[in-house]
Amino acid sequence: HGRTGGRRRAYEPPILRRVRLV
Amino acid sequence: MNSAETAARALCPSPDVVARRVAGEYLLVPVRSGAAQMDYIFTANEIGSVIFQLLDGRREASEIARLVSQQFEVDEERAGADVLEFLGTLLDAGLVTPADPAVGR
Repeated sequence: HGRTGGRRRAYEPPILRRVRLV
Repeated sequence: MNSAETAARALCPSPDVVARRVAGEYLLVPVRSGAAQMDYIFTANEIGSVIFQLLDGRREASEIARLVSQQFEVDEERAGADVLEFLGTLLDAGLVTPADPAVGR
């Protein structure tokens, strides 16, 4: 890909989990 | 703030939120009743944590997407869309805030 450096890691979409404190 | 504005503005973690890295993922805890939702705590997965870590008040969404695509097996276009959506989620939750425009100049 023309990029420098080491191996790229597996990708998964960013997720924000929300936990309600009640 | 719509997605175009999110893309163009650098964001930084809200001062009302404490972030702690636990086992490679960020735990985000609102500590003051500012914009953040006090009845919740939040966790981000690995990619979300990388993005959160890159929010220094200087980098825009496109720069963050470029860095994500260098570290992970994803093309820059998809990373860009995912970063924008994630930043919108963080904004809605009150966990990040637009940076002072003077920062980084």
